[in-house]
Order: sequence, then C-alpha cells, then structure tokens
Amino acid sequence: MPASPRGGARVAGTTKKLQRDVSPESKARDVISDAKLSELMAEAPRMKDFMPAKLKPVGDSRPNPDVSAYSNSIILFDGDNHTVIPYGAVLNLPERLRERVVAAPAGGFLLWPRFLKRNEQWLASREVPLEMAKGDKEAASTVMRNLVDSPKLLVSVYRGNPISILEEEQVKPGNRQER
Amino acid sequence: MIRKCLLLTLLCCGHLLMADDDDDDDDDDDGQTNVSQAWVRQTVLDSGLIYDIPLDATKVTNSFSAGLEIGEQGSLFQLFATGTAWDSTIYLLDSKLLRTYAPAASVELETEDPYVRGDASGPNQIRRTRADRPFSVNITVSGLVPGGDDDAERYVYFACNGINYDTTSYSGLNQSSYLIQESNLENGVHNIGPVYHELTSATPSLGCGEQSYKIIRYASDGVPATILAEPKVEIWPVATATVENVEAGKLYIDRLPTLILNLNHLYPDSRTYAQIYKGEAVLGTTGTVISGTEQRYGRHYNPDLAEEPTNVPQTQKISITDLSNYAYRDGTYTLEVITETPFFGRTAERLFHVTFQVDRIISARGQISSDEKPSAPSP
Repeated sequence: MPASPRGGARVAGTTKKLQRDVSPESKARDVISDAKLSELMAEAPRMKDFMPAKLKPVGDSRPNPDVSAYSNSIILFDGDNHTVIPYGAVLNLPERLRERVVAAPAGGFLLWPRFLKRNEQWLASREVPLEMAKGDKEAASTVMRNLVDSPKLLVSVYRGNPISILEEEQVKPGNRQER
Repeated sequence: MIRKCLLLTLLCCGHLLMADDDDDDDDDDDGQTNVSQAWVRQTVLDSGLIYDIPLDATKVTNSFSAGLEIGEQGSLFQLFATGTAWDSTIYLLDSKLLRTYAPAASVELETEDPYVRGDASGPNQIRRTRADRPFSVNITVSGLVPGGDDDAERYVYFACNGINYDTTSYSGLNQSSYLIQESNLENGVHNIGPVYHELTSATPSLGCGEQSYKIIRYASDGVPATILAEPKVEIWPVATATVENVEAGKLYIDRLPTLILNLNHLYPDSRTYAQIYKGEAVLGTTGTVISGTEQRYGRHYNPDLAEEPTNVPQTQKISITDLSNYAYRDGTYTLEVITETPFFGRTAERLFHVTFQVDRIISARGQISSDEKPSAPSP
C-alpha cells in the first residue's frame, strides 16, 4: 500500500493526524431538513395563537403614520441635488426662480446647510424672530419690509435652521393620511 | 412653558451614518452626495410650526435642546437620515411624541443569536435568527386609558409585517411588505412565542427576510398617528452545502478528483469547514479540516478583524484539489461539511456528508503489470 498518493507527494503541514472524538455527549447534529422543518412548523403555534382573545380586532381604519421627509416640506432643486425645508419657509420667491421649487424630489439629496452653501448665488437664508414664525403679523411686517425686491429665493431660519412661517389661520399637520 | 432637552441617539438601523471628515462639501469635487446626512424635524402639534435641526452625522450621539417650545399638545420629533454611500434615500429612523399624556410601548425580541443592531433596549432594535429557529416577541403597552372615548385612548395598533429578501443579494430593496398579523393592543404585557417565522418564502428553510413589529398610536386631537416602536428580526436561510465530483460509495483507485464545494447561505456569524476522516460516517466525529475550506464570519469567529464584519449570509464556491493528501491510505473515508453558529451552543451541525472508498492497490497492480519489465538477474 503506498504511503502517499501516486503522482503527488504528501505536502508537509497540509495534513493533520486523524483524530476521532465520538463522545456520547456530543451534541453534533445534522442540519434540519426542509421536510422536518415543515413538519415542526405545522405543529407549532403561530403568532395568531398567542394573541389573546381579549384583544380587539382592528376595525376598518388603520393608522397610517406619515414617515416621509417630503410631507409638510417644500422641495428646492438646483439641477443636480434637492433639499427639503419646512412647508411655509419660503419668504421670497422671485418669478425667475420659480422652477427651483419642485413637486417631487430629483437628483441627489443635500441637507439644507450644504445645499445653501452650494447655491448662494440664487439662495439665501433670512433669520426671523420666533414671533413671526408663530404668525405674529407685526413681527412679520418688519422683516418683510426689508425683503422687497430681493433677487434671491429667501428661506426663513430661526437660529440658523429652517423654520416654517405660520399664516394667521394655522394648519395642523397629521391625520391627513388616515384611511 | 414646556421646554425639554432631548438626547437623540442616531440609531443606525442598517443605515450607518458615515463621517464627513471636513467642513467642505464632499460633493463639490465629484458632484456626488456620498455622506450620510441627518436631521430632526420638530412639529409643534397645536400650531403646526415646523423646525428642521441639522445634526452632526460624524457623531453617534447628538445632544440638543428642542429648538422650540414643546407646545400645549406636545411636539413630534422625527429623526431623518440619508443612507450610506450613494443611497440618498431619506429614512425615518425614529420618532418621538413628547406631550403630557402619551401611551408608551416597548417590544423585546428574543432570539438565540446575541446579535443586535441599533440600541439594544431601544424601540427600533434589529435582531436576527435562522429560518429554523423559533423566537419570542414580548410587547409591553402602558399609558392607555381603558374605557376612553376613542381608539387612541383605549388601544395602540400592532402589526407584524414581513418582507422577503432576495436570496442572492440578501437585500429587501424594492421588495414589498405584507401583513402577517395585526391587532389592537390594550395596556399590559403581551408575550408571543416562541414561534417560527411566517415569511412567505419558497420553502420554510429558505426563509430570508425580515419581520417587523410595529406599534402605532392612533391619531387623535390633532396629534398624527405616531410609530411608538418598530423593531425587526432578520431571518436568514438555513445553510446548505453540496460537493461536486464525489459519489457516495464509489471506489476511487487513482488520485481523487478536484472537488467543488458549494456553500450556500452561510450564517453571518458562523464557522464552516470541510473535514475528512477514515471510516464510515459517524455524526460528531472530529476529522481533519481540509485546508482552504474554512470560512469564518462574524465577530465571534474573527475577534481581531479590524473592519466591521458582514451582517448578511455568505455563499461560496471552493475547489478542493488536494483531497488525495488527506486520503493517502486505502480504505473508507467520509467527507463532511460542518457549520457552527450561535444556535445549539455553537456545536457542530453537519450540512453534508459522503462516504467513499480508496483502493490504490488495484491501480498500483495495474501499473506493475503494464510497466513490467524483465527483472535483472540477481547478482
């Protein structure tokens, strides 16, 4: 009997001494077959079996939380990227810049500070007092007087971050997508 | 006036926030937006005032004060972030409703794999398991008003949804979600399980996807429907293995052929290898690991790995060219493919086995007869 296979010498270090370890305590097992798993699943309780009878079935109306960043937002687009700002945060929109406000996101997304930095030639932020954001007409008139004939699209910011400006009649968000 | 400070932890939820190393626009040079961006949107519920607060995506945790007063009816805080690399999709990572009265819900997922992604005690944790292993879901609901006037006071909505992942890419991208179970829950602890997965996969062991457990506060009084918790359990297929070019019971009289080892859906926390030993197949036998076949995935089996280990299954095709070096004596041999995972205490599970015979004497005799030459006379 040859000590090594014909046509190839035994390579040092590639083989180890055969060991047998067939301990009766060994928990080694064959991986479960699909047939066996199907059998177990058929016998096992399902999620619905754990839902207590006292639980009330869901009626016709299911809650549908709004998880989109584009809800209650205005989308600005510079041809390559878009950003979102709160609905009502545009203070001034010159006629020639109307196409910068789009209905649906296009291109990549940039968070407001970076989008502003890239588009300073046509976009600017304007710090507003919180009272104005809350709908105070007097505070708004002071700010708005200084915006007349601004050539840029102006976005209201409070402490540097975009904020919506409420109209006199405040519209509450939410519940719009209930079905 | 109510003003609260929030400590928001940016839960990765599969969308790791990558660092922006400098203040410059990373996209300026190449026009790409390859850095994750995150922000919190505060909506004051009684007025509808909306305030966007950008976050520092280089930090795992951002501590900040709510920019506006919470308001009489409270405020909704939504944590948004874009994905990594070229994924500019905006994800809602978390939402918190802050108000004087609000129901609370927590969901605890118990699987046999200790892996967790995101805050382990948070409402959006991601756990994982294997398609053949049962798991439990424990839901605790509090703060509801039994006998209240409307659904929002009496119940929270619970829904378990499934998404099947592609079994090649292990991705759920563009896959639609389907309802597995739903119910209205009252105050109390609701324990579900242990249960097997209920994904609509081709076969039970090929279950590949996620089951999410969403708890939603019903909308009422101007407060929108709000997600209170949405943890998920990822379910990965049971691994399989096949070996090409070897037949059970066959007698090999020459050098053993090159074998092709096909390893499918290796668990992301696993050690898998082929081993050989002399004799008939006996489950639990420790044989010789065939060099080059060992595959290690996950932190447990790669404690010194610098980079983040994979978190999806792996499929590999490996050639075994030197099996003869492991079966150089005549006799019966068994080749097995073994995997070890967090399940069953990381003990061996046999994915495949084949027993064959080696008898080179026949081959050698053949050679002797064909190459036989007259022997030289003895001195």
